[in-house]
Amino acid sequence: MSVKAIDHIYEAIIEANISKADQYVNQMVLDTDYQGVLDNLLIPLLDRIGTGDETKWLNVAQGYVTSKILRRILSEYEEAVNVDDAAEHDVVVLCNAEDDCHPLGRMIVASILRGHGWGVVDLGIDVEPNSLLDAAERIGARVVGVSAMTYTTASNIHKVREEITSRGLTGKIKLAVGGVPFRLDSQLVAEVEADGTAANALHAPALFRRLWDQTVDEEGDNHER
Amino acid sequence: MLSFQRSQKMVVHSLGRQIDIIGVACSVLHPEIELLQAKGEIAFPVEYLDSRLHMKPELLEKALRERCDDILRSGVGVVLLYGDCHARMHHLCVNPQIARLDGLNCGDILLGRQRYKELMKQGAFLVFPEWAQRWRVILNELVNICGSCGLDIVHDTHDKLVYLDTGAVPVPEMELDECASTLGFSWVNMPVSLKHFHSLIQDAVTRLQTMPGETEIEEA
Repeated sequence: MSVKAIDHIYEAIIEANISKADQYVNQMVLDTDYQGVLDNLLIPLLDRIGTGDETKWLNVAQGYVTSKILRRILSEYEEAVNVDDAAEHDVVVLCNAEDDCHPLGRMIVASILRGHGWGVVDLGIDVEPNSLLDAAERIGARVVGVSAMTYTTASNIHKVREEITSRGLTGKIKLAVGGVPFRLDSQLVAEVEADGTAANALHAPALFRRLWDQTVDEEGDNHER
Repeated sequence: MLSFQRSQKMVVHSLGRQIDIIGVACSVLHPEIELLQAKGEIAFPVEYLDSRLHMKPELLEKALRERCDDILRSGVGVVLLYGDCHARMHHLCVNPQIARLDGLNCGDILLGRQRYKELMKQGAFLVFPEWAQRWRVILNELVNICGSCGLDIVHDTHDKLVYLDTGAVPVPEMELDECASTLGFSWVNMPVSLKHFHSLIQDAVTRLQTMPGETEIEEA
């Protein structure tokens, strides 16, 4: 995969031009094996998106094109990725907050996490805290991610914290949050007692990795005591 | 925050007062509000802001703030006929002279929480009477429907078109056919009573009238 092709795909993301992105991704799929795509396109592209000035604030269409590209590449190479081997992945649970019915941001985050090698259980819109925590405990997720589009529904995320506390899972399951209200109000993450948020969907993998590793570290500390 | 200056005089709180009210509404609810006014179920005047401000939340926030400031300066309470439509809506409603409808958005306001959530889980794309006539403009501003990924965005998150038939205007069948055809969906007509909407308005008015008021008494 040439550097030029990465440039074109990056441009397509900035322009939110799915057909232009498809054109170069199609060519890449024909020309390259999975490892080549991973090493020479996917990782460099994600690095560039994650650090680029133009992608610091992605709009809906740009985020959507990014997630489409990732989904497209991953579906083409599904066998090579060996997606059935869930044990190889760290698995997290995503959902929209209770009463929140805006799925797009969450879907983009799910795609991008999968693109970074995470296993993702996506529970969809309007999820009550007990359902979220039931799923997280069942699959052994150390991080749950909750998305909200409005202040009202973002405020409902506090119930997730209460559920984590009441189940004695504090420190064992971390709470990541995302959505416009958190971007605009820096106090809101603390108000709902979340463990962290990301500037946009592209920064979600780093946030989830940090939170996941924190639970591992804290577990180690507890064992030493 | 609102530039709502408290008096330097002593303030005494009182309950159950009668106050003048002006409604500030999203124009998406214009037909339904006019219908309720015609039936005598809304007894206060209502001003409208363009529903397209939702596409640019920062402009919606600014317009609402400015309009509320103007009204509050005249000592009149404000009923905001809006949902939680931008991320700082709650800042505006900290002021006890402002009461917003207890709804997430216009779909929730018209349908009620349970019915709204059921439709969302079914992948419904809600079409409101006010913007059915200009669906193409709205969809272009919402997801750039003419762009290369606008349709993909709609299809990834919705399966069908549901027209909320509030009875305020005749069902615009031709426009709905065109909209459905463009999106590649079928559309269904869903009759919607205005009872829930009316009860939310009544609740907001009651909150305004029972909030601690301010009776100014000259300091000794």
